[in-house]
Amino acid sequence: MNESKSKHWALEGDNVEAYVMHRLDEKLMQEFSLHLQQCRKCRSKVQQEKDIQVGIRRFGRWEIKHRLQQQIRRDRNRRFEWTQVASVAAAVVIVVVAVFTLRWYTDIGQHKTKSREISIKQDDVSQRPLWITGRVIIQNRTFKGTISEQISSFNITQGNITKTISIRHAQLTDLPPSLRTNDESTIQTLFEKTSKGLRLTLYADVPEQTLKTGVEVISAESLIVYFRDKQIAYHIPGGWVGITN
Amino acid sequence: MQTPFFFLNNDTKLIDAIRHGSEEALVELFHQNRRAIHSLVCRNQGSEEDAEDILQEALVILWENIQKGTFEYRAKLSTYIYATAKNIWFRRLAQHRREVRTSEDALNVAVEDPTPLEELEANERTYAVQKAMEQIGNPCRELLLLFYWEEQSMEEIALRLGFANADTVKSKKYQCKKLLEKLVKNLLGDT
Repeated sequence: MNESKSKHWALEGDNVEAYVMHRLDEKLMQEFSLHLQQCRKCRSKVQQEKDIQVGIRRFGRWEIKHRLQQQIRRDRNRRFEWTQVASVAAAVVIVVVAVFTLRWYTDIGQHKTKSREISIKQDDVSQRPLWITGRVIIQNRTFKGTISEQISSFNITQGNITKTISIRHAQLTDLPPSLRTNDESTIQTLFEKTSKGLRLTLYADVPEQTLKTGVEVISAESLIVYFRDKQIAYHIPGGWVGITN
Repeated sequence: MQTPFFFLNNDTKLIDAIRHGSEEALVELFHQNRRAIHSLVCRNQGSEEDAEDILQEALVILWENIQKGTFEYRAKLSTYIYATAKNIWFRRLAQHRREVRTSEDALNVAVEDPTPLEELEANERTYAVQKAMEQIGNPCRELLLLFYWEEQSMEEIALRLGFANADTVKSKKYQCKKLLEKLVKNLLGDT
């Protein structure tokens, strides 16, 4: 130990604080440790300093942990609120979808005699063919015409003009991919005008020998096709079904 | 410190955020590591509450080490947090076992250990310091925390707290410490 140092040199300046914080150089640290063994007052001072520093560190940790807990609580509340909002929104969407779906299917049952809205792939009323989706309907009305067991032509007379509506059948696999759906309540149909009248090509997976067809014109813009055991309603742009040219 | 490039994105952002005092970064780390720590603690005789507490402790240690500049980025943050949490939890379990043993066999205390009275006094004093820190107010509280807890230099503290220079900080720190000691004395006198 350096003999020139005073009896309580360890207590001078910031030595105690620096010793506790391990900020003295190595040699001084060793001297200090040796000195502590002989100096009770110094030991007590070191203990007091340690308590202060430990207390401050504990407070620091406690404070940051406390703030972290508060943040987590706030964050959880915020997440919980968002979850609630999302749940309510999802419930609203489900209810709306359910109501519309129910109305859609109820409509089919309620309109027993009239052809209903059909989606039209191309609302062009020119001479070009039209793709139209037919809706399978439930209808109590009895068909007064003739049901043919083969691919057929039907003559429709309005006034003194007679026109022909011919019906052909094609397999679903013949449909252009963009028009294919898995919905059994719709039947895709190609409408074409011919010199004699109208030609419908119905796309459905049905064996040809089981086909039964008939056709009934409800108005100038709608007709019902009896196809096997289904009744399919079509809504067609004005002028297509009408007999007048 | 060289950062492995594949961890650079998220981890370094979080470390930087913590270095700049962002508690949101700690919250993000809390959520990211909750499941892993929950599984660790619950598999080892702990409860969900223990798991949360241990994770918070691990995050405080991470915070402390980043602020002190002693944090070394050698593995992913999640690995660091997992290892820290594991250490804390097993130490706590061991301490609990020791306490049980000690209470069962109180006479077998080593002679060199501090006496219960000494331990009690030390605990009382550190508790009083904590209480005094609550009372002392700013800027003393912040200054003492930066110096003793985050181990910042006088120059860094001057910069962070807006003091003119390191000497001003040194003088202010002296005053603050004296005030803290006075508060502690009062608190210990009161009890």
